Amino acid sequence: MKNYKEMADEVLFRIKKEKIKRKKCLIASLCIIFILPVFTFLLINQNISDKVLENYMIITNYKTNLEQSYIVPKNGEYYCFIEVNEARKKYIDKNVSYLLKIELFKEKNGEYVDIKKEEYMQELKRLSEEGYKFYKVYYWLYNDSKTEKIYYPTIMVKLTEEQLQNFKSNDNYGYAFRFITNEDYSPIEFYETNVISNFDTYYE
Amino acid sequence: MNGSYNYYRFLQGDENGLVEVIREYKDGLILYLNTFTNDIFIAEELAMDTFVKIGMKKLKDKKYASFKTWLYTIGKNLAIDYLRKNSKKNIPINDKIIYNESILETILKDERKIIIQKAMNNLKTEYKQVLWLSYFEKFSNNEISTIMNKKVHNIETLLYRAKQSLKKELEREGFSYEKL
Repeated sequence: MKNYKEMADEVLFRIKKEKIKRKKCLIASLCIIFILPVFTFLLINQNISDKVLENYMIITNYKTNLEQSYIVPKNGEYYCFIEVNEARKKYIDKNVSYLLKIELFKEKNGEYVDIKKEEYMQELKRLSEEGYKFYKVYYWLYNDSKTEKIYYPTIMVKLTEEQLQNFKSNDNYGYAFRFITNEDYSPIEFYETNVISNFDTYYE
Repeated sequence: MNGSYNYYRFLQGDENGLVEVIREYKDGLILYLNTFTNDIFIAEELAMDTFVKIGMKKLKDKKYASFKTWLYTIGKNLAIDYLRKNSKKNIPINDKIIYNESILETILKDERKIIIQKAMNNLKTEYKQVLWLSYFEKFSNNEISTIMNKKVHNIETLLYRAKQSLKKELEREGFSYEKL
């Protein structure tokens, strides 16, 4: 049996321990009540942002009523179709990428000459080595009787505004950037996984 | 100075207040809780739990006439919880009773109280409790009714029956109830 002093020591020790435990529980409860919802909110928002960036903020199409005159770019220069420029104006402050088709032109002795498929692929390969990402995508056109959709593969590049402004062109070619849509002007389907690494095969 | 004054001192931050409370009520509370547990060491543990509990919460309920009534009520509730949790455990009791009795004799000192306590061991738990609170702790029937959570009338009846049982028990042991 303990005497009263021994018992008092133990009781006081247990009270202090219990109070610390209660404080910890209180802090944990407050964390659950206040911090967890905030954290969850931020986490959900983060997920939404990621999804927006992944699924929606890659611009694949932009409609405009403006009429445009097509200019063939000179060697070493590039030209954006009017839809692309309108989209760039709209999303200037946003963190977006544009999925664009590159048209290649070559001027020789004041005349534009056809570019062979292999040459086209070689230039894309060079741009890929510069750090640009190319993707294989499909768009569809109706058949002649307009009863069936026929899918065609093509190669598109994903560019940010900064990459567009500082495009590393080759002095041998002129470049035109444009969106591609399906025949009914609906957006094409795009998958990040379809990134192209082999440029020896022609995809179009 | 009394228990509630010392307890108030403790609530104001003076740890010696609780030391005084323990000094004043420790033995009585342990012996009372022993009427539930029949094990003086478990009763001691429960008494410590009781003091920890009053150290953690403040006396707010005005139904308690005194600090001591409140203390014993908390002790009783803890003892009941303990018995409920351990009701399925088989605890050997033969050696324990002999050992408990020697400790109780040391605590009680008074020979008259020792004789009564021994006789009370053979009574029903409720009789033991009500006799303990009445004879040893000098609680009024009102206070006992608060601690045992029964009506005063029931306490009076319980006390009467407990006395009758104690009388028979003492006579069986060769003592006279009236002389004690």
